[in-house]
Amino acid sequence: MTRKSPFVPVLVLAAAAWLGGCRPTAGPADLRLGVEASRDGRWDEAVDRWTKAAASDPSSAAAHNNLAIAFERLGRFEEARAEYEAALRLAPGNAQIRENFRRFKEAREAASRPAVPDRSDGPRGRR
Amino acid sequence: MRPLQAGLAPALTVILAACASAPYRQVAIEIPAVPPVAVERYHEIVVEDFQETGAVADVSLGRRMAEYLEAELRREFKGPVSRRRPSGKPAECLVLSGTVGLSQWAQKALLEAEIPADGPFGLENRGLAERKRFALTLEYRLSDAATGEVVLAGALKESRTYGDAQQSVEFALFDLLPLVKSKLFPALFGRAAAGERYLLLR
Repeated sequence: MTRKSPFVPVLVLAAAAWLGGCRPTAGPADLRLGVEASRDGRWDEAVDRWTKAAASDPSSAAAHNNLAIAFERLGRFEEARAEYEAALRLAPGNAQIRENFRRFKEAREAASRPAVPDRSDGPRGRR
Repeated sequence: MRPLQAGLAPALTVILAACASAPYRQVAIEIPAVPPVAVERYHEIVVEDFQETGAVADVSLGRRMAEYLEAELRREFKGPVSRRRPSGKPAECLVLSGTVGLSQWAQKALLEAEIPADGPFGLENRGLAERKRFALTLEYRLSDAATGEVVLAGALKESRTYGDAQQSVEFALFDLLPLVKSKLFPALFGRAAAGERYLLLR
């Protein structure tokens, strides 16, 4: 009788865990490729990837969250807000999305404050 | 140790390492500026001489301010920047004007252990220190040349103190004008901001 290696079941277990969602970048390919594009500063491509990821899986809070970040980076703030809100509707308890949205709102508020703080009659602009 | 137990340890390490990695990545992003004025709608900026609120010896402050801002605006603005209003139809042109003033005064203080002093009062290790302070005030208006409407207005004040009580106005302007620019340009063109966000990996 041939004796089975004791490593086989252990390796099978490890492989199953790895493939079953414990990988850091597990998930749809577009989500991962978007992350890679953003890491290289290719934010337009990241938008394309995450738009596809959100279209193929409308319940993906990650795709909407990442899209929001890309839009924010590109100065498309209204679209960013819409995506953050969509992500939060899908995953209201996600701490990272909540923190991102808080920082987004804080940044928008800071940007709308006068740029010259020296005097109370600092710039009064009109767009 | 039995072979099964020996193999379990590295396998568990692999599993735990994979599962312990965070499902997100923190990224630093630069958030572009939104200028308070839609400067991109205009094709030209004209910088007029600033009116001086008080005479400064040896320096034409109003002209100096205009020349400095003209040169710096050329770097920042995509269209032409000039000192004279265009003849004919002044469409899509912004005019930067305003008032400027420079005040200077001496500040004196009795400081310890700064200046060795000889005198009848026994002020050992104490002495009268004199410094010179300059303050530049600017009130600016950015107006639409076609309509005359003021689209942006504001005021700012910058000051510098020098240990040399004989410091010249020229030297002070060399320091103060860039400080004015550093406040004025974000007001005109907006300012980019740095931020950090969490990208979700799954």
